[in-house]
Amino acid sequence: MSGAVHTCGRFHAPPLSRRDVLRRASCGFGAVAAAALLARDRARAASTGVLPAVHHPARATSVIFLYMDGGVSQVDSFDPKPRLGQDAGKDPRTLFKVDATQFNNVGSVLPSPWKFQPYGASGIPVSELFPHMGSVVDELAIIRSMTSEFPEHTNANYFLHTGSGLQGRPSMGAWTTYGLGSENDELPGYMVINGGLIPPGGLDNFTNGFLPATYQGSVINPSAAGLANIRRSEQAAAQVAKLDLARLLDRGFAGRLARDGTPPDALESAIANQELAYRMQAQVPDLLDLSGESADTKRAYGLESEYKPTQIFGTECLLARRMVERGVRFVELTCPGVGADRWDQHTKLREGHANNARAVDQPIAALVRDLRERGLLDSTLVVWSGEFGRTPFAQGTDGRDHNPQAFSMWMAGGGVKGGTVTGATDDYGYRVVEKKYMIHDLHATMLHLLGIDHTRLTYRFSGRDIRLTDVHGHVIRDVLA
Amino acid sequence: MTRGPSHRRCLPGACAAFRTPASRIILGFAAALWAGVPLAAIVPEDAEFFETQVRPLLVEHCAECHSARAGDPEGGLSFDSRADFSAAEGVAVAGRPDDSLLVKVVRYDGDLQMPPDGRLSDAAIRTIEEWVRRGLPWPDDGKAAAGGGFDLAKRRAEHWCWRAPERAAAPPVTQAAWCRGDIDRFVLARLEAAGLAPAAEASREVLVRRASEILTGLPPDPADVARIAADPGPEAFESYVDRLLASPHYGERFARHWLDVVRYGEARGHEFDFPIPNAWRYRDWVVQAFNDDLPYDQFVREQIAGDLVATPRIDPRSGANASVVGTGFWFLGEAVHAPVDIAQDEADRIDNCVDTFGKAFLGMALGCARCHDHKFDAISNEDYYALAGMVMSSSYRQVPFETLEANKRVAMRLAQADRAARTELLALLAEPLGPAGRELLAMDDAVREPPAEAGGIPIANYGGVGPATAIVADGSAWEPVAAGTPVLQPVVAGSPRELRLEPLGHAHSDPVWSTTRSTGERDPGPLGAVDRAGRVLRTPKVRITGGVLWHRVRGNMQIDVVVDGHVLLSGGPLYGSHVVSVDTKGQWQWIRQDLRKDMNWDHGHVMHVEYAAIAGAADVAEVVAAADEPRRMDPAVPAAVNGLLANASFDWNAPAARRAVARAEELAASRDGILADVQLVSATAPAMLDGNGVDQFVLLKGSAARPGELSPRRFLEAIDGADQPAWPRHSSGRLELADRVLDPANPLTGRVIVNRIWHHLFGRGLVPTPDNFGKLGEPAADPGAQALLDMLAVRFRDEGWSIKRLVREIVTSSTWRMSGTRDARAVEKDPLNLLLHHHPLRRLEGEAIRDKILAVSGRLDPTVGGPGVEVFITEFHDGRGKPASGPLDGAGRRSIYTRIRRNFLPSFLTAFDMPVPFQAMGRRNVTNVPAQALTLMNDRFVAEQATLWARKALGDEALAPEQRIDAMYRAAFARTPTPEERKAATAFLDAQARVHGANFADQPRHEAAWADLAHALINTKEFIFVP
Repeated sequence: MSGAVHTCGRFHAPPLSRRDVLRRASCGFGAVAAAALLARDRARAASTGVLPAVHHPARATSVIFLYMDGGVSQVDSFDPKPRLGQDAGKDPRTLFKVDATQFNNVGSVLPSPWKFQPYGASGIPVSELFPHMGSVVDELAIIRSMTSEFPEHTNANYFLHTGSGLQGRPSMGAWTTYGLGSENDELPGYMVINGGLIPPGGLDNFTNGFLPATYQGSVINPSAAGLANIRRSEQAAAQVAKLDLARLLDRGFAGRLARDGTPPDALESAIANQELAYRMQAQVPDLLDLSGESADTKRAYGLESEYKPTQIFGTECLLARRMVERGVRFVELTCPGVGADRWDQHTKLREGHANNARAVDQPIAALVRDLRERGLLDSTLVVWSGEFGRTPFAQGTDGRDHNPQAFSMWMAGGGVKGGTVTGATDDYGYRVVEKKYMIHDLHATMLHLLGIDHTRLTYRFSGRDIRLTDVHGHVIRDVLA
Repeated sequence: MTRGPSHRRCLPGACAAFRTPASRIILGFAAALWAGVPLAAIVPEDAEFFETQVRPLLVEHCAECHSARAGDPEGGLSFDSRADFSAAEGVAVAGRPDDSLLVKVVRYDGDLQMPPDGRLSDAAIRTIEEWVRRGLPWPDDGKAAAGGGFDLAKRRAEHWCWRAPERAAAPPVTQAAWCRGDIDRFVLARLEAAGLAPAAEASREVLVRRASEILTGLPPDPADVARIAADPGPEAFESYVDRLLASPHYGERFARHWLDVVRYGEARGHEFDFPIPNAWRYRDWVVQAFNDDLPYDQFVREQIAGDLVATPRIDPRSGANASVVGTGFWFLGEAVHAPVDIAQDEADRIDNCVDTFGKAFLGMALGCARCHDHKFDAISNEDYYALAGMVMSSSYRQVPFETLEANKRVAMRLAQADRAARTELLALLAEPLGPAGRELLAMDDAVREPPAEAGGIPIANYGGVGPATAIVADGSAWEPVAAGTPVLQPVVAGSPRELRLEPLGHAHSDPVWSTTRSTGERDPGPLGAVDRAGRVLRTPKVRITGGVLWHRVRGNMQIDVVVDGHVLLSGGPLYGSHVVSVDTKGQWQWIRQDLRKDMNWDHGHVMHVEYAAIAGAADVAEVVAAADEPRRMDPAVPAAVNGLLANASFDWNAPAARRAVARAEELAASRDGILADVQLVSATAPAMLDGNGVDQFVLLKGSAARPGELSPRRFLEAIDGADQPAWPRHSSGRLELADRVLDPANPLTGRVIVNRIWHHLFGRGLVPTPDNFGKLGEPAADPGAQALLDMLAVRFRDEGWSIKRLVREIVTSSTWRMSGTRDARAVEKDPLNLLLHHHPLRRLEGEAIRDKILAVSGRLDPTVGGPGVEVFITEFHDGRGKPASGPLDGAGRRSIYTRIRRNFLPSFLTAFDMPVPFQAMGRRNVTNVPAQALTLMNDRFVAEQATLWARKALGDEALAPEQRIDAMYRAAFARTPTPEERKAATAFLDAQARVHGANFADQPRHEAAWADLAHALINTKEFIFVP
């Protein structure tokens, strides 16, 4: 605490050590846990997470999760299926067993309206929806055999984000920062950049659940407003004066509670958090201020695109890079609205997927390339995924229904073997026939790349040591470099 | 742990082989015989083949799931040992690979494909085939069959919570004079044993603030602080506590605690966040219960089964049924509006109910026993499903609780009158009908033909032929009418009424009931298009297949098919065929309802039907699930008698006939007189509607697609033993369940609530995990703490389950009155303050912080109860179902009255740890994050209230600045400032006035400067921490 108030009396806090932050941000799991953490932390002053050290050398230190809300069609993006052309128009039920879909309006086999072509040294085929992503395909490890357990958005979103299909469990970003803490004392460790579409299920996709609230995703808009209550509503001097007065009273209060000068931890940490909050007011606007970025960078990300959603998602991607630079542990991006629906094309597949692709394709490729050029890609794990895939047959005539049986996603960056394809679906892209993975496997792999054994990152709640992967999960070895 | 789907190791679609019992391969651990090569016959070559080639394959690719090391081996199949493998039947047929399920699944031949994460290599598959071909040779590996890792009796014997609490005598203490009562003696004995002493008593100012904020969630009136501080009498504090307990704000405070436990929400979350109509009625019920000090046993009973209690509590002012509203408890959880797998969805919903029930009342994580026997506690898989059956047997309604009892009395009078009228009119008709008619009437029921061989699956038959289905309704609208009942009707429009006999027995809803009106919210979607409350007839729940229903009805009514207990069906985009409206224009008709286009009925669903009159009378005779229109032989007697009555030769002018008609008109008029007493307008609340008892199957791994053995309804074996009286068949058995929860033999209920109260009053329970008294909860810190809890639990029960009395005893104890000042030596010895050597410092909950800001600013509207205030929507709230924003200050109402929309929780409150309502949360997180400081520094609500507070402080022009400062300190901290603090505040005002371009000496009432002071005080820790 000493030094927090300078001799001039002005409110100006020195940077806290991470250990201080941990000590003061003592949370709901009780003083025993906090004490244990402190003891561990003495051996390693590098993080505010619970893990005393990573379980194995980390290949990445931060994560950018590009969330493709609504479910991208695998057979129109990364999983070409010529057979759909041969069987176009046939009743899929005569070709293979069709599961119940959400709307049970099973149409005929629907070939992709987009052509595929090989890209890069790896020659991996990517559809013409994603020419920019195609240009960085040698950085991507594409998984064609991901599955979900839920055919509807909300459950599938919770499942993708938290490893459980129901509401209220901690998000993977919360688990990650719970384990590793943040590299930046002046920003939250888990930030969500809201492109405009909060996924079905709401903010609980980013919740800390039963983990301490320190680890909840801080939702930030890719605009000047940024974070809730981050902007002073008054002159800095006025605020400083208030906090100075409050500090004076706090010292008196603390003194009355402890004659020997050691006030309760809760009080100390509340005081420390006021200091951190004070500093965040400067740091967050600085993060959001893109005026220092070059014109080339802005153009590359699509900030000058004539398509507004591209500008929005480009800003999100650029902000994600700036967060990673500043040591934010886990960044998630949500999609901008494109007029129609998110990726959820139950009708008008051609128009809807084209617009969504237009919004995200260029910015994502720019992000991957920019991270590479700045030397950040080796320490950043980029993950691209929706909550499930879509059916290879039509819903009605021109849409695709939800398909949790198989979908494509990719990872890039730290510890990931780029230019590879893992897993396979059947001739129609409907079901996985090779290397079936589930969301728990994705989570296990992400944690693995961060240096965490997913079976050893636990939190005691509701009578059980709970983990992100529940009782499941295997690291997907094929994508590891 | 409590959630099902993620525990299914097999992916949906991969489990088809398990769906029908016939092809299930899970077969328990009974004395199965080894179907393969007997041990003695295994040749060394086969043994080597197995050990070198087969076993490594099994270990590498199968054992992760099919092994005791994986917990419960999947599907009961374990490859751990010869004995384990032999326990599972049907896996392989020795010598016949092509007939062996094992070979089929590894070949990926069918829907069931193993291993699920990828097909084995061809070579590996050939090895498996070869092993089967050789006759499954498996050498002795010396391990007995696993079996029975779960020993309920042993677990029960070994864990403290199953032992009955006893009332131990208070232990001896040295410093006896310190003790005001037994609590103090128990606490002091522990301190003395540790060589510690209790902290001194807190100042009167601190005690008054503490008591007010902890008991009512609002700061004390400064006048009370001054008065009690000045009163040296020993009774001053006690009588202040009594006043707080009598305040309606006490009920609000403790209701909010309880709402955390019951995962209270007013909307259902998920995609659209549909509202739970009138959920706030339950919230007000809880507030009222605490304020009335409703004995806790009744509080529990009414939540579990308030719809079934023999004598419901009647609100003396309104005559409303207060008991039934408690059952809203069951419906406060989240819900999906259009689940694809509706049976699984029901299993998930029921899981939330069972889990919340277990944690709330028993402090037991019952949800852990959904997929398997509890891993740690004495709760079996069967226990879980025995309770699930009770939830499943009940259904949802919006109950017109205000008129329920009054209309019940009307209906009873009506039934009595109708019975008498029937007898009298049949007798009067006998004369004009002549001998033939009299003979027919005398035959009456005896010769009535039973229905022709029905076909299909009967769901309900109200005809009274054979055992009639009992009428279950959400109000009093429906009454049974037997075939042959005389009714008056005009033969042609405008002509005088004549008498006819009802041709069919049926359930009848008088036209008056379709004129009832509910106030408040209705269910979303087409269901809510009809004002159903009080008009619903509910059939039993029946498992049907086929998906086509036939309803034999007469009148204008809504028909709602409730499948797998799903309430929101008709609110979503799916299942439009489930709700239909029909009008048969006064004629009996068979109405066909085809449910097949919306869902798959191949494997059947448990469903029931609800009928609600839209206009005029509504009659329901029968409902059947059948492909074709049912053929019926209708009762012969009424038809024959009606033939005589309608015959031209029947003389309606004959004196006897005229007497009958005249008497019928008189009876109809007196009937109308009774009906005039029907109360037509009522508020409604979500509540249970009890139905027939349905036992649930044990769902393997919690999956609705994998029903196992039936688990008949009963209470926990650990408490009531394995042999329990059969649960009722005509009812869900929730009333019996409540009795078992409250029985003196139940060691949990009393302890759990006493511990919750202790938790709320000290910030930490004697058992620190209030929702989990099981093995993985944290036990009491020491035997002394345990003895204290047990003593309080026994007395609580024996002395009438009064929560107010318990609160009063704790709060007026010397223990609770200790100062919060920490003694360094005591902190060193007991850093967690487990022994209570000082009063623990607590941060107020978000609700109490917000309420306190409103209280000091003068904006607080102290109105108790009523509909919620819409949540204030910020730019960070987004998503489907977003409501229009409520006011920034929540209309000045206490935080408990802000609507709880699951997807749009109030951001001020969530910043301060208001829980996301998804399951019982008896102990909140108490976090400490920058977002809280940012909220108090920059939130517009806080700034606005600071300005209001300043205005209030400036109200009296005559005061000097120091007096204003003192008043603000008294309001915020229940104390006057020290001279230094007063000086600092004055200097601050002076400086802030300058910042705002003014001179404080000239403008001592400068509002902005005073608002800054108010804002600074809100940002102190003393404002939000209770000393």
